Amino acid sequence: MRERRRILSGVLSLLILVCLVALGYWLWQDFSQNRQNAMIVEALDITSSEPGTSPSQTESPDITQPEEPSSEVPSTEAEEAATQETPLLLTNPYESAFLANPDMKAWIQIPDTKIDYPVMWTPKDENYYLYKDFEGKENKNGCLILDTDSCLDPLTTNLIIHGHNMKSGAMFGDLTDYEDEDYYQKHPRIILYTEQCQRNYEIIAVFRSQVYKKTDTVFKFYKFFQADTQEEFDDFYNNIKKLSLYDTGVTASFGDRFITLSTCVYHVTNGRFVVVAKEVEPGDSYLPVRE
Amino acid sequence: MRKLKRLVSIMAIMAVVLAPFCGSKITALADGPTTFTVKYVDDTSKWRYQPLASWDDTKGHGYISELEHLIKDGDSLIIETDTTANICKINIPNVRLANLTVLSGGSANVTAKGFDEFYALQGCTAVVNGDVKNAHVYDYSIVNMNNNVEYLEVVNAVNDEMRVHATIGVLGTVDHFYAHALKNIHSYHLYNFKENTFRMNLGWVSTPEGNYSTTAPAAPATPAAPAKPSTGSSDYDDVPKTGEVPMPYIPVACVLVLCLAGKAALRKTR
Repeated sequence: MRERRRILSGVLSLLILVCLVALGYWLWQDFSQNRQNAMIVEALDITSSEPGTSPSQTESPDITQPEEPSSEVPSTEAEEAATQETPLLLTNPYESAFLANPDMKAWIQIPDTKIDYPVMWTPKDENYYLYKDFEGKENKNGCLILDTDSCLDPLTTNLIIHGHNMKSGAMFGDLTDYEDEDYYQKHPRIILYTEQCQRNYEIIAVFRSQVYKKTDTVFKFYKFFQADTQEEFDDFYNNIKKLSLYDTGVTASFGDRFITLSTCVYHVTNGRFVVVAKEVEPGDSYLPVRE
Repeated sequence: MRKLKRLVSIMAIMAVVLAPFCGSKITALADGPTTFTVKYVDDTSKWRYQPLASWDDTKGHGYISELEHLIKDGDSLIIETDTTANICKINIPNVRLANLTVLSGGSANVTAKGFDEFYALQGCTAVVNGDVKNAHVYDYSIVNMNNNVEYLEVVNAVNDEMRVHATIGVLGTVDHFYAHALKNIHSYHLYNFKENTFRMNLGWVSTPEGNYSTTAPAAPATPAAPAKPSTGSSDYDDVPKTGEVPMPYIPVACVLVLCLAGKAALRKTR
């Protein structure tokens, strides 16, 4: 009897040790991956490195401007008009990030939220960055992924960006806050920085959906990339408006462009939480990042 | 030697306890579609099931309640012939069946999320709750379909018959109805029956005119994506999975607590 108790006690002690080691390892792994991810993003993100600086305020000596006419020659009205119409090209605020990893195709920001991340595009393997950080190392947070059927050049009607729903709030963890209309009222805009320019969006619809079976004939938000006809546009637009949790008051018409942010939720199998925004006034244009 | 045996026993126990928690991913085996057969078994006086395409009296069988838990989207269900028993009731409202077949003489009441194919063979009685994509009703069957039907075919496959004799009621809509016998003297080819209007009595459609159309509707401008039959994990569209992979903190913490409680109990008994 004593012998059995000793053995059992030994087994239990061993199990306790193993459990403690396993829990410790997983907690450390969680912490280090979250820290690693945050550090990389912080290093790449220019808005956090220079307090009070916003990308549109950044100007470098590389600003291209037309030559000013000589002060001895009176300028004509035509010359003045030409001067005003020439767009001002700024240095891309995320130039170093674009150069650091050619898979990065954009940077997305929702002002006053944690969503401030690079967006990766790997058409040969859509899921490459699903569990890898910006540097390509294993990381459960992954990166935001631009759907391979979306394209920035030439620009498709709809850009779909997928991101993990992390409990820590990282990546698209805070996207589900848009379920609250008050949160939407405070954060109605999305900004996307591409290599060429800044694109501004206004949120038009917020809804819950799911990934369906291939044989299901239902509205699939993740299948809409291009609207070449009024009918194709109407099908997408009417469905997102119908599904939307609330009326944002924003409308769209054929020819408008969209951005769709998608993350997992668990209300159904393969559930998705979706935020769709319509492109509004254009932002800054940038000098080429690569020669 | 004793010490070695003890060490081996401890390692074995550890392996058994910890194996389910190893790794951070829990992957479920993807099962292919399964066909289940249901039959009234006299010995038990109950309807029972087997995971087989046809009933085998030499093999064991399970309860219908167990079947209702096991069956999944894309599976098929066959109701065997039995004219002496009560109607077989199957309730699977969250499952979409690839195929429901009620064999000749069988009686069934099946509730499901939907049916891709439904066969009511000659002389059976069936009540079907759930949208049906393609229904094929054979002669002298009595069938009630309480939801929508995309395509309803009524067939008399007996050589010398010239018309159909089925009795059918549909509570939903019927998009396309085609009835024909082998000799094809009498047949129907009708479209777009309004909700709760389709009635056929012993082969004669009694739906008042105005509730259906005699001409086929125009083909849709953009047809739905082609449905390739697929199994297991490829059934769903390919979209990046953006859920957080759960760490097994809770099960491991439970094991830790149990072990600590066990140690405390052992100390007390000393």
